[in-house]
Amino acid sequence: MTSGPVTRVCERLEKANYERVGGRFKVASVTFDFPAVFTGRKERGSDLVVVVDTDDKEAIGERGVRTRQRLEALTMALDVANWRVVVTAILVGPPIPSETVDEMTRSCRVLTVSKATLDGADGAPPLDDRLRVLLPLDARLGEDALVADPLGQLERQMEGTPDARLAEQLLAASLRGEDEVRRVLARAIEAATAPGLASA
Amino acid sequence: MTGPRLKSIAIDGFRSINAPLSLRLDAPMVLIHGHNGAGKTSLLSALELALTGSVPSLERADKSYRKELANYTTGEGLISLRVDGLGDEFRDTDIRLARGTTRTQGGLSEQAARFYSERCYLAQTTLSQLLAIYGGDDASIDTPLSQFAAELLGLDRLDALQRGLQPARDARNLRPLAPTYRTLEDRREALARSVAEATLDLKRLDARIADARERLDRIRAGMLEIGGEEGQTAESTRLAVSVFDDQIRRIEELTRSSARIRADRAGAGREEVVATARRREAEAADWLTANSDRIQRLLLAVVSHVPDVPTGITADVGADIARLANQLKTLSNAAAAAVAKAKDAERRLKELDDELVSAKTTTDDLDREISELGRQAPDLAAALSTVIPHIHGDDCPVCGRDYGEVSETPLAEAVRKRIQLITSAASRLAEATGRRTSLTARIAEIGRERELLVAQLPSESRRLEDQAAAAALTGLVAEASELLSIAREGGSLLRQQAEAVRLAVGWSRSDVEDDLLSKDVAALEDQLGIVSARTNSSTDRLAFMTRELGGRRARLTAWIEQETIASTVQRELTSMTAERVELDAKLRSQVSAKKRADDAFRATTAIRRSVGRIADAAAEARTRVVAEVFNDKLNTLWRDLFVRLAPDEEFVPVFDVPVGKGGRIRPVLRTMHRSGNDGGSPGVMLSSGNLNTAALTLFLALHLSVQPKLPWLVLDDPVQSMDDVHIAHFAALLRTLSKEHGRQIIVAVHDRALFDYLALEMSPAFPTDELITIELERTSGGKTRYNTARHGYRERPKIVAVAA
Repeated sequence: MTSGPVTRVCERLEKANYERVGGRFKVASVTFDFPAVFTGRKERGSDLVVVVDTDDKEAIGERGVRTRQRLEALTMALDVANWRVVVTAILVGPPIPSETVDEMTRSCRVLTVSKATLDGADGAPPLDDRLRVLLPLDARLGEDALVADPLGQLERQMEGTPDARLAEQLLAASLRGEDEVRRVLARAIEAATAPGLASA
Repeated sequence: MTGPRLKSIAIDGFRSINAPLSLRLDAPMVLIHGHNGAGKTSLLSALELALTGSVPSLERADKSYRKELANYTTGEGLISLRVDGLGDEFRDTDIRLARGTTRTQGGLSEQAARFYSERCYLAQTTLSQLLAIYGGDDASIDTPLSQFAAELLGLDRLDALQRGLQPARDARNLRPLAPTYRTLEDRREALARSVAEATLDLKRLDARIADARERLDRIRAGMLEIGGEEGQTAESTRLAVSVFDDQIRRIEELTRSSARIRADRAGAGREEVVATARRREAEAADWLTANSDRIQRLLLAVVSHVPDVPTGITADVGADIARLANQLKTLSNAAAAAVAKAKDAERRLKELDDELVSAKTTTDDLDREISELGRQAPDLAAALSTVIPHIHGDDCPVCGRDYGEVSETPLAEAVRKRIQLITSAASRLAEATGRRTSLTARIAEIGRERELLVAQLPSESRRLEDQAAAAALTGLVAEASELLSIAREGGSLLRQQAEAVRLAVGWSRSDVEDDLLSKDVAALEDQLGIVSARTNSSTDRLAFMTRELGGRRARLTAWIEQETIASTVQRELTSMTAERVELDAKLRSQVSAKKRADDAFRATTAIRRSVGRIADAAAEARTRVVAEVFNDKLNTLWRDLFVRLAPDEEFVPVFDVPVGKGGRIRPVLRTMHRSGNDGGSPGVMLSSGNLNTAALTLFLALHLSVQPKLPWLVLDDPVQSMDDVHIAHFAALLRTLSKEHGRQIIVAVHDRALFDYLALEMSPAFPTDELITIELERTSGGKTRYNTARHGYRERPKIVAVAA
């Protein structure tokens, strides 16, 4: 049985395209049992995510020591099997002592999801923030020319206006600095004055 | 693996690398491990140099760093870099280095090189620099952060646009920039002035033309009043005036005739004149009867004596006789003088004859005396005189005898007395000779005078004739003198008679003339159509005609005067009309020039507006980009990255960008609590480890926020002070960037455990995935040594759930 908070985390992982493989599995003949276990797909194929319910005192043991031991055993077994898998443990529920967490981090990546987070309490980090490292980086940020092309934007803004041609010249000049922009401006003004200064 | 990829690098003798390295880099992930001093930074600097031609992190420390790029021991070096997938953007690079090398050329274009240095390569020093940004003065506009951000976003170009276009907003700033703008402004002003002036001139000219037309109309009307006729011209009128003048002259002539007639009839009446004429004729006849014969005789008598003798008796008879009397008197005197002269000559001749006889007698006497005295020898006296000096005593110097023997008188005394005697006779002789010569001359003179007198003396008969003529003339002179007063009286009578006759004749002639005048006056009246009462005198009628004609002439003259004025006005009008055409053309030309200048000025105004819009759009684009990027996109990305690495950190770094005056960005670094409330400055709110995380994630956020022209991330020992949690999360992030975002990642670390952990995290996760590991170290002899391995994908067993 999984508790509500664990379910919430599992749902999020599934949504992030992790594959749930059940809580009980074997590595190098050693059986491991967690509330939920996920493996990554494709690029994240080397990810093994185990979800721990810290509310299950019996399962995690005193001060979470049992869970720490299980995790150490898991990474060791993976090493022995030479599976080259990166383990991430998500501790869901009440916090366990930080010394235990620090010890856990020596064998695997540890993420914690507090009840406050799941409850959406004020000041609590949202769930995604807690799981961020497992979630994909928003592709749009990188691919969508995030630091937009302000000059392109300007060009687009000018497009189809009577100022487009001059804007184009000025934009080209801006590459060489404001003095060049000034020169282009001066040339445009002087060219416009010429017919008015012609003698006949 | 797609997109540009770093393929391989070979390094020998570069910085701390003193042995050849030949390394494959063509994997999505390259992990480099080495303890400090093993050559990690040298390897990554070699990569940067080969790509960009420079190593900015070294340049910041020493401008002439290139001289020291070759390994100190080997003194020369070589870097060869190969890159795939960049085409023309990259040329295979083989950089040879020697001690003192000053120039190096990278394989990337300038723009790509800049991109690499700014967005792809995080040198240790750059990380330090980013950390320094957090300590920057937030209030300053030109913090390293704001410069960094401006360059990052291309805002410098927008700034260049905004600042460069600034002069367009204010004419005062535009004038020095585009001098013809000022010229155009001046030209417009000048043209506006001249158009206004020309318009005013034209208006004035139109007023003058209207005035001239009005005057002309007035004059023409006046001329009609004077009596002008259709087709009348100044010439025809002048001709008419000259005809009038001829007629007036004719009238004047007739008037003069009339006056003459009046003069002829002046004084006495007709009968009296005739009576006087008869009386004068009778008196003259009486005088002629009494004196005519006598006067005629005198005239006949004098004909042989004087020339131009009048043949008859006229009114000038008095003068004639007076003249004759004078002439006769002169002739008479001359004849008397000739007679007297002849008598004088006769008497003189006789005197001369007497003198001649006497002279001849005296001459004879003298001849005799001279003969006597001439016998004595005058030369002896001289001879004796010469002897006297030689006489001494009484001895004669000539004969030598003693004079004392003959006389008591001394010899010298005797000789002197003898000389005196001889000298006295000679003096008398000289006197006689002189007198004779005088007499001889006188005799000759008398002879010559006598000859002259004889020659002049008329003959005897002639002398008798002369005497007779002189006597006749004397008689005529007397007669003429007697007749003189008679003749004068007669002359007066004859003149009076002639005058009286002339008056009588004048009367008769004036009748004829008066008759003719009357006819002429009548004819003229008919000709001129001027008729006054025929009973009036010719003089009055002529005066009437003169007045009438004068009036007509005056009207014509007035007409001509008006016509002259009209012509002048007409000429003025013509001239003004021509001037108007010229002025109008000038005005049109100026208006056209003004229009061109105005159009050009409008064009400049349009450009200024256009430029203003562009500057505004630039400012707007800038503001929007700044706002979006710093406040939204960049902050979102940064937050995402930061939270990945520091999930437990309550505060996250954010850019706050209050837009200052002129749209200048002033990015301010702040922190924000996850709840959304403002935090403090990062330096205060974040631990040093999380500051490092903030800097690292900022770099990654900036890298990710541009199109990945070079999808490379090269990180030099980026996790020096991160704890284990961060390291694990950082590894996961690198994996995400590599495997999910296609970045080729090269990471150098000094920590062995981190290297191992990263090697595990980066293990190839799918068949095409690869990992290259490079381990650098130094031998006990200090030589660079390396070990590199390529790790491929190995299928791992699937985790399978097992039943409880």
